[in-house]
Amino acid sequence: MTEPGRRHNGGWTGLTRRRFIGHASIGGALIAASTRFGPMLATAAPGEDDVSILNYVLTLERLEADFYSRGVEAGAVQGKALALVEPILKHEEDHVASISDLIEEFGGELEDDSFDYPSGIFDSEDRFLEAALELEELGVGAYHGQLKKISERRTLDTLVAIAAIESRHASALAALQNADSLPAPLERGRPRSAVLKQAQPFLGA
Amino acid sequence: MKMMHRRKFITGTMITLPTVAVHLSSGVASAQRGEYKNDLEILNFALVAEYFLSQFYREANVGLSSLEERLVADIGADEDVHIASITRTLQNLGEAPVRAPAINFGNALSSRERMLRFALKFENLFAGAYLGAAGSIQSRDVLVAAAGILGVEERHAAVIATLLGAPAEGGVFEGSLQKPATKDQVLASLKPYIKGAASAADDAAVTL
Repeated sequence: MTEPGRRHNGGWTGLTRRRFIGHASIGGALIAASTRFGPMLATAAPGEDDVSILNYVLTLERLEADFYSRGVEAGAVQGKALALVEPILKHEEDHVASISDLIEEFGGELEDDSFDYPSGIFDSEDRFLEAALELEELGVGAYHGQLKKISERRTLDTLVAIAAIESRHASALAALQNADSLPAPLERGRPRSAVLKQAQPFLGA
Repeated sequence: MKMMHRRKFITGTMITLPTVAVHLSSGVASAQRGEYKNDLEILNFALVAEYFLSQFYREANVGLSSLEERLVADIGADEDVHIASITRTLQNLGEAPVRAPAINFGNALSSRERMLRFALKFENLFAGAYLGAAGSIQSRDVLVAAAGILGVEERHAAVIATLLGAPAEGGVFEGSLQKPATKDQVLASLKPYIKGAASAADDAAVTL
């Protein structure tokens, strides 16, 4: 197990024990802040935008589930990699079910998806795992990119809990193949257009 | 397992949340679950958890391999970024961040295996705590930031579980959805290590 240099020298940032300003002005500021907390989001058409967001992430979850399912079936992964991929496949199937349920509870329509794969991707464990990591990181970016747009609390709760697991998948897969398992200190969102563009090689026409 | 170099970042630029104060009004329809009074309490509670992990990794001189040392340093540096991010958010909201409590990790740092198991336990617990609190967060920006931290705690857990050689399900993974942890669960787990864990959290509440 060798390891090349990382982003920084591993030193602590020195930010942990900074001295903070006192409490003098807190009362007033807090009251001002409190009055601005948490107005309910008016939803003229409840869940309509959420359904669109849910269908978008459903596409990605279905893609992951289909990709892993085909990979396992084709014998693309063996041994240790297979042991990791099997539960991931199960998780993706659960995510598909959770998201589908939510769409239906909101009275939305499940959209159709079709998938396509770069040729030979199920013939090589390295290529398969590389693509798996790419899809997981794509999912992480996709979820975090939608959190500001969601209307319903239930949608947020579900997607935050799923996004967390996508992060875990990504790091587990990265660790398995000597890639970067800790790419950043905070997850960051990516816009839908960028995610779908990158996913294009996996999505049918 | 080796690690490629991570994207370079300048501490303090990407982690600030300057829009929080401005966009408080873009709140999320709230589900009052009663566990936390408001976002400020959640932020200060999270800060205690981040202090706890940061100090733990800093003290983790337990005969780790050089790879493990580097990963632990990176994980610890992430916790420091979380501390800075939460601190700044609190300051933007006009709230004083709580100070780091005095912590004694006891024999959790007496061996590599104990250290890694302890780290895994608390990464999992705090990930659950972020999720448990997320449902009570009212500010959209605070929620987005908390989710961004939560994902990284999940990554830490996956890396540490891998170092431990843990099985996939029930080790590296704990099911298809993160399970929320309650404030009381977190307090009970911190109690043996933080002198007056409850009062540290009370301090957070008192400042409100």
